[in-house]
Amino acid sequence: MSFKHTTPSAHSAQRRQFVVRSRLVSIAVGVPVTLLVVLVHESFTTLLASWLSFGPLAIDLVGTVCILILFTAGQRLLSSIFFHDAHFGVQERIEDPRPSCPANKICKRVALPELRSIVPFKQILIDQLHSVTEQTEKAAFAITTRLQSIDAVAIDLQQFVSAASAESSGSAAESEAKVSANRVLIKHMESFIQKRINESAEDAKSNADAIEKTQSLKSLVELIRRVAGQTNLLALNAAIEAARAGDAGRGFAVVADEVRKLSQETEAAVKKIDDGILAVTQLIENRCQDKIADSHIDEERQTLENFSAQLGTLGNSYEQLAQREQKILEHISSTNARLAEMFIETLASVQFQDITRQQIMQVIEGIERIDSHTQSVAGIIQHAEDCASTNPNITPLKDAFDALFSTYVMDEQRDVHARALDRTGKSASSKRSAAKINKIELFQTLPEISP
Amino acid sequence: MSTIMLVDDSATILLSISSILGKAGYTVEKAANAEIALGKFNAGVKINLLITDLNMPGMNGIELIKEVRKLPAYKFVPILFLTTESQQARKMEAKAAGASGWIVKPATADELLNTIKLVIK
Repeated sequence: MSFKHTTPSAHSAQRRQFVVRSRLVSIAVGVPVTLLVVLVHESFTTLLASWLSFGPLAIDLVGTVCILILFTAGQRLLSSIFFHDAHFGVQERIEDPRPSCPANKICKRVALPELRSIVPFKQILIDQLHSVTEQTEKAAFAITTRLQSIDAVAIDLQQFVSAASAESSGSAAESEAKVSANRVLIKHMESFIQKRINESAEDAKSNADAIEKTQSLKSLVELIRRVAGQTNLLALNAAIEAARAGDAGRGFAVVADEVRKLSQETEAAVKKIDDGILAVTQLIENRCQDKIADSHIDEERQTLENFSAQLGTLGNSYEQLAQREQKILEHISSTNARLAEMFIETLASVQFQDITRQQIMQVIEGIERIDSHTQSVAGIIQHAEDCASTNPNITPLKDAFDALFSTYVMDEQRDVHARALDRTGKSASSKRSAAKINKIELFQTLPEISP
Repeated sequence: MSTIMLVDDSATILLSISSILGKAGYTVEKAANAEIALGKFNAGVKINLLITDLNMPGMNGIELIKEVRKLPAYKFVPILFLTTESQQARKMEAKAAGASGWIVKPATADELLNTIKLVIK
């Protein structure tokens, strides 16, 4: 007896089961049959010998046949009672001219609807993948659009920075010009003050000279005063002498009196001159004092120096401010340039979506192929009369996936396919792509540019 | 500045690559498939370079450039492929059809722009 559709281990288990069951049933039937033989042997022999005139040999033959029939019938009866068939419950697995009919029924009743039900579920998966593609495409498109908006802002910023930078350079130049102008102004003021100092000194000196010269007139006035005093004294003496001379001296007395009057007038004039000299001296001194009081040269110089220092500080501060502004603008400008580079690289990285889309399309293609294969198997089951007569004409799934392999559009897909086959033991190392991808290749025979 | 025709069935690729080219100063003519591109060629659009995808619905990139090379005005225009495919056999097929070079996606902006500079004279 042989078994079909079983693996070696299952086959051995079935054999053991069959042996155990057949022995149990044989014992269960053999014991009662033996007892029956012992009990009815005498009656059976007498019956056949007396009624049918059988000899001992014929009686033994008939008895043996009866025992075998009884034993076999008992076996089948017990097997049917305990194991639901006449062959110890392994009838389905015993090679039989029509063995697959029950299996076919099971396949058509259970497996076929299951295989057919794959279609809508396959469609769910495919729709999900289409949805993923659509979503990623929309997202990538939106990202690209937003990147363009960001770029527009960056361009605005760059333009602003350029304008501000030019303005800042202009301001710095203007500031430098103002500082220079201030320096020139301060120099002018310094020379003006120096001139004023010099003039003031000269004024003081000429005033002193004038005072001195005026004072020197006083000695002359004194001399005239003494001469006038002597003249007056002489005139008095002459008048006395004229009086002594009598009438002879009367004319002389008139002269002496006139001389005395002259000397008195001279003295009065000298006094006026003296007063005038004093007044002129005081006037010059007063004017000189006023001029000195008005000048405040040192204060002016100090103020001017302070003012100059302040202007210098202001100019430096302004220059530092302009430099700082320039540095900030340069930093913004370089950051903006880096942003522009990053923007371009990010734009380039959006290519991932196209790659993902194509990979998903190939996965969908693979699912379609599996589905098509499954439906082919279902068709075979549906139209099969029985296993023995079935001669399945079906393309192996491997062929479908080899065909899918040939439609791949990138080495990544081929590598994943080959690695998966390697893992499942269906090595396809011959299908591995070249190890290193040459990303950019310019063909040597470039078409010539038309003149 | 030079004008570049970009042919790709992916709207995202068209937008992103044309932005990169635009920022680099190129004028870009876009076509969402080979048929649209051929329509523009037949209308006499003037270009300095054609960049095309390989796998597209309808006419593929190699079929497109075979048609382009038949047009006298575009017999000598440089043609670059920008595609996910990297099989040598396909490259050779493209080369035989008149392609000037091949760039595998994803390419960085530098890779793309440097290659363009090499093929545009």
